[in-house]
Amino acid sequence: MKKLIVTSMVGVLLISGTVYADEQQEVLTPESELYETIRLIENNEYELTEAYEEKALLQDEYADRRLEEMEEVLKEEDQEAAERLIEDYNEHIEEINKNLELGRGLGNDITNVESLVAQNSLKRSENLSTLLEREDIPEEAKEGISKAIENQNQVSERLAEALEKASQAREQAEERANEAREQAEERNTQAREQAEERAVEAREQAEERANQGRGRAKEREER
Amino acid sequence: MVKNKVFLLTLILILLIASGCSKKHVDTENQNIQEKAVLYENIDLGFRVFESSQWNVGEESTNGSFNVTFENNKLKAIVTILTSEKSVDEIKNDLKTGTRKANIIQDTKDSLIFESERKESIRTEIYIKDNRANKGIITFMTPVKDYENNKDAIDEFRRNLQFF
Repeated sequence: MKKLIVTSMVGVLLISGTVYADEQQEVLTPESELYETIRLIENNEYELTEAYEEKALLQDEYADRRLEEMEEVLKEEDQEAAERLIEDYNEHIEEINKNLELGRGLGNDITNVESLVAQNSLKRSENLSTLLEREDIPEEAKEGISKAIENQNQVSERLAEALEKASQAREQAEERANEAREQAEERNTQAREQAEERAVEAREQAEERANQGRGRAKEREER
Repeated sequence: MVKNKVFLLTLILILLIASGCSKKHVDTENQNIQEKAVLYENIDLGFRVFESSQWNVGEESTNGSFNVTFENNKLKAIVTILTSEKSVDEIKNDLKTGTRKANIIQDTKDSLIFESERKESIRTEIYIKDNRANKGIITFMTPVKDYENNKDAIDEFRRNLQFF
């Protein structure tokens, strides 16, 4: 029994040993010697990804990272780095928008991705607004943050419009499907009724013919 | 006395032969380098990449560390040179911090392999080489679905990368 418990515990430890890098909470800032390498890894990941909706999700993740990095460099009062990160952040937002439009253009159903991006955009807008309220942030950085909020809001509005359109399209499609179902049911009912009527008529005619036959037979017997 | 002289002569002879062999080895190595075409070379940082099939040189950047990118269709590589005193563990830790939403496949003393947790998963293989003057990091990236096709190209690139 003890062996079994120990084996199970080792198993659990081994499984949880498959660490996800996501669990690391630290933030790598532009000061790090490896920051440029990480950004090149991001670029490669983005270039190797094909689907527009997946590309949009990657840009969404990168925008989150830039925001975290921005908060970190502002703690260290590195204004130049913060300004560069705001510019990069705005580029990510533009890329999200571009990829979602291209995905929609292909006629793909990307409502799930749009909803996710809309939720994340909302969170980022809140974080940016909180940053803007801080007194220790220089004016230049605040201008950049304001622009970022503006861009973020534009994207959110476009996403809301797209989601609304998608929802309307879904409702219309459902209505059309319901109408088609009802019409089909109606046609089925009519066909069933007609078939029943024909069967009753056929039965009546058969009975009539049988009666006539019986009548003629009786007449022959009487003669 | 005679025995000593014979021993001394033999020793000199052995040393001469050994030095001749060593020179020949160095000459052969130099000759090989001269024979092989070089795809990319950075003498200041002490590394070169010999011509590898279908690999092209991308861009160089020098923000913080030195990076140069290479491409081979759906396969990409980055050679990074760090001149700081960062340990291999610190380098790996920074790379893990910078790359998220990834499932680690292999984590050894000098390598780190992970796959991104996405619909179109990307496999990243990182190899760290601790040279005397600096540390070299070689990063390969390819979509998981194309990995089998690109395995040989990764091995070829690794063989053709030389630090000196």
